[in-house]
Amino acid sequence: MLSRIRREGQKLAVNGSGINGLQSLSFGYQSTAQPVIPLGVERVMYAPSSPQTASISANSLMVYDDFFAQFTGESPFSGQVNYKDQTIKFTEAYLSSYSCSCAIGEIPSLGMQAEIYGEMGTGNYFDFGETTPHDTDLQVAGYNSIDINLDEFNTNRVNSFALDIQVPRTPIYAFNDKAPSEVISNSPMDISLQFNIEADDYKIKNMRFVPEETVFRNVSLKINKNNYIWDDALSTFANNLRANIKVFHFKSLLLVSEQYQSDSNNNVGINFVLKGTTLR
Amino acid sequence: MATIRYDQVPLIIQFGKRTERMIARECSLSEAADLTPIYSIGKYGISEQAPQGARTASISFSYSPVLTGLIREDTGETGSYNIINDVANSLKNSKNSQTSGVSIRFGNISGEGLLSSYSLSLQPYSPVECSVNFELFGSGENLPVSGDLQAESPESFKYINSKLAAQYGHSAHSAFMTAGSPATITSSNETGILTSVDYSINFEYEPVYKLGQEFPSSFLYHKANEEANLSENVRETGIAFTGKSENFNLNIRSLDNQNAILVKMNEPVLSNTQLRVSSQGAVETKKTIRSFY
Repeated sequence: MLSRIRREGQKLAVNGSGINGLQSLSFGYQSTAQPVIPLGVERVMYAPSSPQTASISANSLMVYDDFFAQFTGESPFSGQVNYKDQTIKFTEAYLSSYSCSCAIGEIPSLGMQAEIYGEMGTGNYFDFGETTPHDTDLQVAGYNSIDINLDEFNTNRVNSFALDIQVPRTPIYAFNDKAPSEVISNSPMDISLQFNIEADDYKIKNMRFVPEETVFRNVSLKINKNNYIWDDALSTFANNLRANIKVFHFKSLLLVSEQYQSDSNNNVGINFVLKGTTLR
Repeated sequence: MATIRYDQVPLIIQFGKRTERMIARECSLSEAADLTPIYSIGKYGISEQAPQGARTASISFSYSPVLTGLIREDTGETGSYNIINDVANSLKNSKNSQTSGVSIRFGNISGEGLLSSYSLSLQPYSPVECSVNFELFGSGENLPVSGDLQAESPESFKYINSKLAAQYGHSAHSAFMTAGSPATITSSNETGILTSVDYSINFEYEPVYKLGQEFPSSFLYHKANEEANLSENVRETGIAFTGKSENFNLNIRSLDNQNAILVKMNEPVLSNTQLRVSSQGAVETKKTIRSFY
């Protein structure tokens, strides 16, 4: 009988906590075994040509909280993927990129990619015991529950934003070891924040605006729970604290690109990108 | 003449009764004549280009060392491979003044060569890469190289019948140690991470010429110098510029950890160190240790 594994037959757990709202999951490795092709010999032999690594990437809806953001620091994480009766475990995964985005008509989504320097496979590398759901009471954010603070938006409507944080890692390998002796969490981290707006009076800068008219922006993004019910018994501060899923504050992001787009069927849209760096 | 493909030019070396088919990635043969133009007063141009020294040739190749394999094709005998490492090890400690060469055949061109340099490179979890250079001097009336370049059918070669390069030297199980401790120690007795090892040895010979013969009748071995360039993540303080009176052993093991070859550096002395860091990187240190024979 034909069988298949549907979404309900899979689970991702990180450090013992199940990940909610998972939309896509990908993990795997590319073997470093390379052929040695010598002169005048008819056979080809294979040998590992560099240390083996693997990678994992996942996308999820922003529900309850922003689970992956905590791994932009120096600590690695371990995890396991269950599908049907299989369990794949991985260790020493270091987040290499993090993303968060939302557009009108969408639920805010999160993305992450991590490099696995430890092990990945069916071995019993650790035992979390029974994984616990991260949270059973899902509180989904929506595009209508996002506060963006940026000067341009008083008269220009924001259609979407996309945040990307690159987290550089440098593995240090001993020449005779298959796993790194240490993984340096490098600095700085590159931040890219892209907005798409429907323009009204937005003024595109002169292409030579750097250095005389260099534009730096302070940006705050607040992503709130979509289904939070305001509690009149609590103060505004307490309500905000409960309603809030994630807050990003970025200081002095540099405007690096602007792109005007239009066609006969749509309103004028402008994409602009702000960039910044965060030192550890 | 048809172009010859790489798999039709085997590189085979012989030393004594041992034969080794090299797992070579590239090979180059160069020949040179030591000629001088003869000018004379009252004559336009030159009279001729005349030899003032012997013709020389050299062959260099890079290869992956195989630590065991078929050494006698006629008898099917297997045994320790890597003739070159054995030659280098015995030569540097040799007290004999005269030395014999290694027979090298490359696409049906052959010659007798003296090992002039031998190097090994170990990078993280990679096959060991070796490079060598042989000087082919010829002997008496014999030219340094003989034979015509010819393709040889790869079908005729027998080699270890495996798909995994299990017998190849690989950094996976290799080590670089002093007699009793790791090669990288800091002042606080911390063991550093040795990220790469580049070892090399160079030999010097004196060819003995006789009048009336173009090529030398024999060779006298003079001396050798060897060095290891080590990259690490700590600033080495365990070995001083005056050395530490210990031998350093580079132990290269096969990928299946079954066979090994040894390079022993005799009481090397630190000759230089470098400490380097660049923006968005980590501090790297390098040191060179040297021995002389």
